[in-house]
Amino acid sequence: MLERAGYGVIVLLLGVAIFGPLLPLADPLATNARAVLLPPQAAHPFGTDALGRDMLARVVHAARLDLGLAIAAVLLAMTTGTVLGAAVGWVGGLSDRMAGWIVDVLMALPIYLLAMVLAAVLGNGPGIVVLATALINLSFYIRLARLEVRRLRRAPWLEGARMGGAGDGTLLLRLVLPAIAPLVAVQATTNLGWAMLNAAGLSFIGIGVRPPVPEWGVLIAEGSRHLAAGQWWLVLAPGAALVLAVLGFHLAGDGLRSRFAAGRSA
Amino acid sequence: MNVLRLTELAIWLPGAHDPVLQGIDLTIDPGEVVALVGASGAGKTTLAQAISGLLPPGTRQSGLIELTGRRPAVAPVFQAARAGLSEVRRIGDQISDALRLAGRPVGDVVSLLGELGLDPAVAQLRAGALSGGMTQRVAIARALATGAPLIVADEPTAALDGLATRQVLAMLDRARVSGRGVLLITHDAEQVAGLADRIAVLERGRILECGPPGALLTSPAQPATRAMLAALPARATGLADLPGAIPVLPPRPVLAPDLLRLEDLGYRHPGAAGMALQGISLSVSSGEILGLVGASGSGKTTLARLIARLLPLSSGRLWFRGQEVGTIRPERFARDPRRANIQMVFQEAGASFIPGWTIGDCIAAAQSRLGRSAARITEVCGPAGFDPALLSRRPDQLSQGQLARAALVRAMAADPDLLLLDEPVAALDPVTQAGIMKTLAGLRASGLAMILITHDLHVARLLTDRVAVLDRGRVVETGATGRLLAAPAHPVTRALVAAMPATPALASPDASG
Repeated sequence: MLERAGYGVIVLLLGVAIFGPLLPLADPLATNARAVLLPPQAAHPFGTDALGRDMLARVVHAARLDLGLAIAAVLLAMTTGTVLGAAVGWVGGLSDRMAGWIVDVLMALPIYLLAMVLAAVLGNGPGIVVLATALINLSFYIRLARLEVRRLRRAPWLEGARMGGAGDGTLLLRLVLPAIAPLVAVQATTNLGWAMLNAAGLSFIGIGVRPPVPEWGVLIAEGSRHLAAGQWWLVLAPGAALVLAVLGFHLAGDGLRSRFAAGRSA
Repeated sequence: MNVLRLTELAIWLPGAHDPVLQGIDLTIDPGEVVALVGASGAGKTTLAQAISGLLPPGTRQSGLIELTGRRPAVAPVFQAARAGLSEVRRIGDQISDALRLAGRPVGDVVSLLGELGLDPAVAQLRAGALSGGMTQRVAIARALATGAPLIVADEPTAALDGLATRQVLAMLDRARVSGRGVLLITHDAEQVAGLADRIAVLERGRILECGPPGALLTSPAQPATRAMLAALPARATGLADLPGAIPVLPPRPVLAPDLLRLEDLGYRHPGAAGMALQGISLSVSSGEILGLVGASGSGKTTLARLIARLLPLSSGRLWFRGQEVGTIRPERFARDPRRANIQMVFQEAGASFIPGWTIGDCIAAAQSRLGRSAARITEVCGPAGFDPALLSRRPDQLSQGQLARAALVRAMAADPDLLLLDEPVAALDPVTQAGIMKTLAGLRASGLAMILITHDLHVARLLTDRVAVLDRGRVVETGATGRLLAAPAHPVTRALVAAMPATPALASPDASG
């Protein structure tokens, strides 16, 4: 049930990200001095902000950017981390121990500090969000792939395949990677939720996406200034969207996990 | 008062139309050992799971399972006892845990182990340090510690050598003496004859007959029971006594003698201090079966994996067909043209097939890499006793017996000169076991060289030409099978032979031939 809700949220999110900008909504960047800080009403279901921009349009347009940043970061972390982890897990020895140290260092890094350093060195921009989020999540994939490959390395069915003339490359690419792919997919699904939160968090403190581009973290940052004055709707809409997205990916990830676990024990 | 009473029990597994067990009536009294024997797939394990309350969800049941009111009423002991023990907690702590969970006073665990006939030093060890036999005895000790009036042991001796088997059976005898009821599941009726008060024969989900071992083993009423007993290796004087025919296979080209020659071979596990194997010198010729015997942990499987070129040699030399192949790293040997010529059948036949792939796909992939034809797969199915229709099944859809034959199909399809077999008939019912032994005899007649690892000296007696005895990584004795079993020279061999169940064959004069 919860798993289905998770998939529903993901479908909704993808739909909004792909088709949202095509909907007959107001221009998310058009200001209107006569409609400033309006509470939710028929013409503006999510209200308007301090410059009179329609919050519904801004939240909907932001979905594409937020999801895009998260997907790019997770894809980057997943492919690099899995390949790296699987390779060192297979070879073992010194490279394996070194990968262990790198993972430890990566896990100790705070994402905000890392992103600030990256922004200072490489220049601020949405790419920084992708890079920082990918680096922070890289360790999960290295660790997962390394452990799974080490566990599988001595599996009787791999020895059976080796007996059948399969070299290291064949074993790793045709047998080991497909065997760990479901686990990586589960990790990636849950990870997408975290990545969206990371992207929004970084934008909130001004790294990556900058105003006036609509992005949930930017919207929450802008709206938070008006929270004390009682204009709650400015943070409610982007905040709710973010919570819904993170929850959706986590529920879907949990559902996939239990599904694969059931398949494995059967 | 019975510790177990089954009345008209029938069980349907999830999604199955026909019951896997039906009309089961069985009672066990305190202080009674009932052995349940039968072919694989007869429903033995399902019955053990039903009594222990461990059936998979979605299973349907009719009839009654009545246990005593005590908690726990049943203590199960499984074939894979290692899986039931924690790897990190000491054995003594795990037994205290069992006492605590059962609500019994946690007294002196060390002296408790002593009372159960175990070395008290075991309490300080962890599961990884135990041998297969000791693991089973610890699992039984833990089951006894719970105070459960009924112990259900599922094939506790299937993978053990003669010595370890005797110790495990002695442990179950202690359980009986202490007033427990024991349901002992096994595929070897002969082995438990001295222990069991009654033997029940299960066939296709029904109990065929049930009675005291003396009567049942000497004059079985049912044909199925007779067939099962006739297939027991311990009862056969020679291969001809076993049921089934030896398949006739096309003769292979005669290769030079000493097809395989090992000289002072040694192996050290990565990171280990001592040598796992050392000073191994052996040779095998075409048309010969060399038996490898020895206690578990003596290095039999490691030696087979070295010869199969799955492990790198630490020292010594290995010649195959006159060429030195010991210097080739295992990763490279996988793509060597000689890869197909040395094949191995692994002990865990089911786990040696790629999960999720069909048996046919798995073998076909190997055939194309080894440069062998896919047509050979179906050709060898007949002699291997494997139904070609099962090639489209996945490993989890086959029984243990079918998997053992599928593993033979894979090895035979590669058309090797040397075949290594790691316990190919262990944990199989006697009839399946006999069928596989006949296939191996056919392969020998065709001129194949084989190395057979077995813990069952009767299998070695019936099938092997020569035997090498391993003890702690060294070959302590080699010789012609008949001579070695009749007059063992080394103390280790003598202990192994002494632990063999008695057989009419060894008493007869032609046994040494």
